[in-house]
Amino acid sequence: MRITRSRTARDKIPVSVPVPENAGEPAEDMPFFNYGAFSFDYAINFSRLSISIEQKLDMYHYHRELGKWKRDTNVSVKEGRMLLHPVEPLYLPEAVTDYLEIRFDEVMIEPRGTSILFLTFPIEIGVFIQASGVTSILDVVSFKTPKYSLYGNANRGVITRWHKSGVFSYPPRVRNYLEGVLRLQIENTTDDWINVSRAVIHEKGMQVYFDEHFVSMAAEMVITPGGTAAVTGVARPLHEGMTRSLRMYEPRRSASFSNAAGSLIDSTFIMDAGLT
Amino acid sequence: MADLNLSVIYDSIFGGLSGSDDGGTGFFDTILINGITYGDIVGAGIILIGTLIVAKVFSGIVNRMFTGKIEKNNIIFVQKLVRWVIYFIGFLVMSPLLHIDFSGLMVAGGIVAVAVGFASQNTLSNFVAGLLIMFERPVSISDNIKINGTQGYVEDIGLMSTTLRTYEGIYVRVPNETMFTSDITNYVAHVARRFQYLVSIRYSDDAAKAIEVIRGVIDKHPYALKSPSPDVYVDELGAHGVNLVVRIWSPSGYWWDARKDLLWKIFKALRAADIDIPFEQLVIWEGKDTINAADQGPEDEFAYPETATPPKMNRDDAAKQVDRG
Repeated sequence: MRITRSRTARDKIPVSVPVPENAGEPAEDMPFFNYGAFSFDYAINFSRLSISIEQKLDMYHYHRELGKWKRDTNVSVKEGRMLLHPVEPLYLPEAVTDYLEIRFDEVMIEPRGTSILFLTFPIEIGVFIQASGVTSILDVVSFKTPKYSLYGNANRGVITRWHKSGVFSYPPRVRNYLEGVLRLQIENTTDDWINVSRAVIHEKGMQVYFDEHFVSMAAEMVITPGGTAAVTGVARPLHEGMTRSLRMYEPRRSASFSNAAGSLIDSTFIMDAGLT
Repeated sequence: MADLNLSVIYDSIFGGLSGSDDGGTGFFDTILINGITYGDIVGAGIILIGTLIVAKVFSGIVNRMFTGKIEKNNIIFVQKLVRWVIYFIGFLVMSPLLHIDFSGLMVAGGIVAVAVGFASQNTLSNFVAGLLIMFERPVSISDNIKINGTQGYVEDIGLMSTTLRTYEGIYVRVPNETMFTSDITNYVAHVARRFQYLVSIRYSDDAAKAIEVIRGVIDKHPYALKSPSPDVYVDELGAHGVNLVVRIWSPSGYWWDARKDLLWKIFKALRAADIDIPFEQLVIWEGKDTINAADQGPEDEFAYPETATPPKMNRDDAAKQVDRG
């Protein structure tokens, strides 16, 4: 289903779009990854991923395997718990960039119109360890192979984590260990039709939520005259009852990757190098 | 005259405290030591406090001005420099109250200043170049640069010199004057850069298939950027094979990782697709032992009669023929 739900700024009545009855509900045969907090004796064997923490004398030994990709760490802790949360997809194979770029099929937004799209975004799974009330990241793993891109040009652009998404008018069914659902609200403040096929979101505004079936994130894009857009990640779950993920955000120190194409105002990224 | 004017100024400011000229008899006029009165001490103290406050204020201004523009260590250095200059000025202002006479030092100081000026010409030029580099910022710490044939990572940018660590781990100090006047190649100033391979395949291989295979390998690599998209094309029909050029954009900080990783993966993928790298071949024709009917055909080589066989041999066949010969 590739229909945008569109409404004008003056008339807030949503345009009727066909939405399947089971929209947003997971398929019965779809396996789901369990996010949440677990005791150390909880072992995970999911698809090709296995995670375990075993006690060896006074030390715990963390072991993770995903195919040939392994990680082993010794953890010195008396008691604590392990948290598995979906995190911003910007840490593998290395923390190269702060920006996530989502490419999607081109959508035409009417003048002074607002559209809400549901897109997908890649997921990385953060393994956190918590003891004495202090939480620290232990490992990050992902079923998705990362891909990077350049928004803008080499001289004045930003490296982005690239993801290709379909366009949906309702939350699509996705495997919660591979992809999450991004609710993107696009507001066209111009008097022209605007074509949009990408959104660049800065990590600072990304707030990931999860429940037993979905991982979600939300962002708002305000298109302004001159073909630019301000994109801001917003803290808003897909629906009530979702848990807010732990964040891994730390501003990158590498200046080489921060000469933004537009400019970053707090968590809002100004896309001035094209919307398509 | 100058002394007179200075004393007039001081009298106007601190007259109430010292009152030395009008022969006051208050507490502040009481001489403590060597003609220095309590008033002079208090005046000197006020100047001292004022100097410290001014130095602190200017130090903060310098910090705000340069934060984010130059390295932290250099900001601290400039702050210290500004502070000491203000201290020195404060001391000069304070000196008449403490009855310190610098007139004897003027001539000697002038001579010393000239001598020091000549001696420190290069030093000063390095210092000025250092300040200019801080504003222009052609390089930053940890940048991968090349200057005067030296390649390496910038370790530190000082006011007098810039230090590099070469790829071999060697320490190289470059005076800032050299930094400022030389061509600098900064490999990571831009966020992305392009690198390329030259991949040869045999004439018997399908170049279109080879391009598809290479693109497939590149698409799977994280550091081969999606945009600008990689470019793979037949560049040359070489002496020994078909030369393909593979151009890939990568994040500047990761291009070397991608370059190291991709070439072998491309080779393995090509091998898996039964596309191989050609060996260098040299075909030698000796006497009449030539290909076949080509030399018996009509003179017009572009119009072979239907009965004649055009020379279709490829280089592999020709090489075999030479071996048999």
